[in-house]
Amino acid sequence: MRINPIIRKDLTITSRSMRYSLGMLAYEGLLMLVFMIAMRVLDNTSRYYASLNSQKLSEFIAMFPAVSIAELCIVALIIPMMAASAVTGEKERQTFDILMTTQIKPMQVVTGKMGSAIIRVMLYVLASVPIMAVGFTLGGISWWVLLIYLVLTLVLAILEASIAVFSSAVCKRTITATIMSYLIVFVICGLTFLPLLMAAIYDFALSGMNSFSLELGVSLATLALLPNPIFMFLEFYGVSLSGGSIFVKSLVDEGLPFMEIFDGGVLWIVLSVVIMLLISFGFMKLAASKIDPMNGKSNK
Amino acid sequence: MLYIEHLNKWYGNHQAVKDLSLHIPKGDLFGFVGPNGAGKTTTLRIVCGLLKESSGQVVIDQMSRKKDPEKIKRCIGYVPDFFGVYDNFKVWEYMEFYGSLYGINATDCRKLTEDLLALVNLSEKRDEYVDSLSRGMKQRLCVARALLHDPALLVLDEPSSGLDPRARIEMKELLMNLRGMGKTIIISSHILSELSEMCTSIGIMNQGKLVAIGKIEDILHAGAVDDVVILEIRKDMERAVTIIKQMANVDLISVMENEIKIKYPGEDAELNRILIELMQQDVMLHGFHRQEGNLEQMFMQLTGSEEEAS
Repeated sequence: MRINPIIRKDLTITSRSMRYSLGMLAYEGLLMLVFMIAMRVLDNTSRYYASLNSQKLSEFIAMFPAVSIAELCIVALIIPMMAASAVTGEKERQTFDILMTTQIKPMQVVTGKMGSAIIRVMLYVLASVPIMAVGFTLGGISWWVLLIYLVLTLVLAILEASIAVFSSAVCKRTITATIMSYLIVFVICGLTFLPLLMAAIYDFALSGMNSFSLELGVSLATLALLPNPIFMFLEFYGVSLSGGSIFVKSLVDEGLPFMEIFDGGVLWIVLSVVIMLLISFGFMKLAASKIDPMNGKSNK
Repeated sequence: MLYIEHLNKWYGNHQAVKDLSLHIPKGDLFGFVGPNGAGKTTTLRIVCGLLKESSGQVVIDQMSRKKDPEKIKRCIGYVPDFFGVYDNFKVWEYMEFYGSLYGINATDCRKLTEDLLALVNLSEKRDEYVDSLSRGMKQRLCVARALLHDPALLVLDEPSSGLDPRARIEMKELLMNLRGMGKTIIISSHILSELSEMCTSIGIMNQGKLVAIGKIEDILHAGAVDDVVILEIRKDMERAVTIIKQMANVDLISVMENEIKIKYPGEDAELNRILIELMQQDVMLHGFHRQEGNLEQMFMQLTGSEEEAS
């Protein structure tokens, strides 16, 4: 299998970059700090419970979400920074024109740039697996949970990298592309919550009517959260740590129509993954179309 | 080799290329000349597939750019005016990266890299980082990179800009070598003397239009500066100057030790009249010749008149 030349080139350059190594060091250091703080807090908690009934070592299971959430936040912030220079960086160093006169296709440029950003981030993530595994060794979570966590992190990385590469294709400068990437991520993570919030307020205001259509509206508004990675990971933590859904369960308990199909939480996670990958593909297509010189405006 | 037919390019309301048509035969070294903003780079970028034309068509090796864009990419090697580099990338890695973009397998690419680095005289630099090379070396490396897939047409946009005289000479020699190897080359440049030395034919662009095209000698002949004559005077220089100053329709341009440069309306009969007049006045006229035209004068003449007209 031929490796995309852009991935190989970017990784060669990255492997010689002091910035990447220092970034890795800072990332691991930050995770270690979170780990130590969580360890200290949980140690105090377990000592307290141990004094009561001497069997709460499994409190350390909370180490996994504590460290992994910290990791997800860092990953979510790093990817746009890494991938937003995908096209603008090539333009700024004036290598883009040469690239586009070769036989590489715009979609290969996009996948190559995304691939190199994702691999660099996943190397960070993989380097932190030993820290994550403490939750495993202290009992509680299984290797499967760790594996699924890595897969979901990869999906998040794909989504964010596609957004960043798209922004890079649209913008002229890396800084603008980075800001645009964060804005789009914010829209997906923050504003997809708005329909549910508005539907809930509306439903609450007219609560006396108790109408089916109002409740259906709330259910439909909930579906807007499917592309939201925050809710995907919320459900993942619910399913993996407490054995069931956290967010959707509360809606099912409210008696909202059709929500019971998501009751176990697994379907929500699967659908989220599918929708996020579809959105990523959409951004990739748009980016490829944007960088293709033959798709440019011909004017008159 | 390359046919451009009725090419037009608009940027909003500004027309950068106006109905440009030209044909460059195989093995030609074609020079594109024109002032800044004339449309040279736009034309070259359209030829290379980096810009979409508004109308018209580009045909390379009997393949239309619109119908066979991918095949055409294989026919073109492009050298831009500025050499962008990747940090932390060695010369051989740079070559192999671009080789892989053309789908050349690693073994062949290694062999090609050695040959091409030897061609551009950079063999000893193969293990050095690209960003540590001088500008001239980078530009030669860029030419080597453009030759990796053995393109039939090499397009160079201002390859000598920013180069020192030595690097320019090396670049010129390299291009002459490539021409000798049968490559068709298009080169845009502001350095007219350089073009006149190496190009087989040129096209002069101004304000988006091709105002002259053909072999350099033909263009110089067609627009020859035939209204300036240099008279060689053996003695009686002062008298000769006085006589010329009194002549109608004749302007004295300069007087040197044994030469007088004059400008006249340009007809042979008029020149006869001037010469006869001088001889009748016993001026020792040793000889005369028309001032030879050069590319700079031709360029100024063609681009200047266009600007005045606009």
